Amino acid sequence: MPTVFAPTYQHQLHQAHPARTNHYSLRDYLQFSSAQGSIRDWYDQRVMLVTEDFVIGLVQGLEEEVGSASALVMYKIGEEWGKRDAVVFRQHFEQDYKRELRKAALTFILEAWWWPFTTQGWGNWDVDLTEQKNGFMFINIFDSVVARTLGDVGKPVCYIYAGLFAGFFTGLIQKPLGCIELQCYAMGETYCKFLVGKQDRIDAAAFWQNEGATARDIEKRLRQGELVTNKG
Amino acid sequence: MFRQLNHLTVSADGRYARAEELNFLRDYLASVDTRISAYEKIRAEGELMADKIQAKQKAENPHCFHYGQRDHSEICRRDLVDAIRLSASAMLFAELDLMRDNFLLWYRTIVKAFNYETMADSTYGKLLPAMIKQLLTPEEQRVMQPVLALSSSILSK
Repeated sequence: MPTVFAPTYQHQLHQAHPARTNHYSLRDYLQFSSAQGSIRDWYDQRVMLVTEDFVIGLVQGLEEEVGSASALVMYKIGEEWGKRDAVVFRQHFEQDYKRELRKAALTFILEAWWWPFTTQGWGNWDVDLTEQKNGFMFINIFDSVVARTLGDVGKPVCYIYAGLFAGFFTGLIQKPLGCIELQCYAMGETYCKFLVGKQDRIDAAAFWQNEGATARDIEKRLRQGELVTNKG
Repeated sequence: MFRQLNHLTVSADGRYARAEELNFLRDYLASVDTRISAYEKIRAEGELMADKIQAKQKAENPHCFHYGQRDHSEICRRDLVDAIRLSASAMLFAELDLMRDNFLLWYRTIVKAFNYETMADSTYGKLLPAMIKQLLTPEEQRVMQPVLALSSSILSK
């Protein structure tokens, strides 16, 4: 393990307990400074609180500006964010756990990555890695901030999450991956389900989804190893 | 306790608190001596309890702490010692919410990530409550029981 430079953080609890890893309650993870009017996270990054109106404004404002391309724009924003976050996360993980990322258990890495998002209100998650060897995985998000805010609009809306997962996993494993939302809280489902995988899987899922297949149908087809080339 | 105090300072701002709003303080203060004596016993025995629990688990299955290609006994022991200390603190301050939000919910994801559920079930559902029962008087057990039940409900299967 190469020596990892560990900076001193301004976050008071982090300074006092640099080795603490269970720091994800809201009041521990975030430091509210009323004197400066700022909120900073465990790693001193500036954070801001936004209302549901802000999220609606962001999504609808973007739709007004670029029309149907807004989904792609949101995906790309998420993807770029995810790629950058993969780099930052690697540094934090290796500082915090004194272990190279590639030597840690994947499930542990994923939990370490998502906890700050959970704390900041992006929702709880559940990752299904059973098909990892076949080049894809499923992520369930409970309480997506986008879907919860927009309500039942009858279509998937969590493009920023899909982009975030695509970008992060691409950065993590250094291979190009994509992501698609198969079912969404905004379609009346109880949670959002994402497929992360190689582009051929994502393309196949997108094709089946356009043909009207449900998330369960798509999941079944993927688990059976069916690709879009078999569509006949 | 802290959250209840915090809530009271907000909800009773601008007026006097009603008698029923002060009940939690009365209950807590009445139990302080018991809580401190229980805390001191657990503080004295925490590390030993962790060793005994691991010894029992290893006696049943010598490879029970092997995950992947490594023996994680030391890490599991460290976590258990921390969990016992945090449980004692939660009992001392009657502060279950912080215990849940600051530790248990996070630790559950770690348990799940390492497929450690069976061992967590044995530790937090059976062995730790049994050892605490041996260590504490019935009155002390009464104040510790909610913490153990909370840990068990979150960490056990």
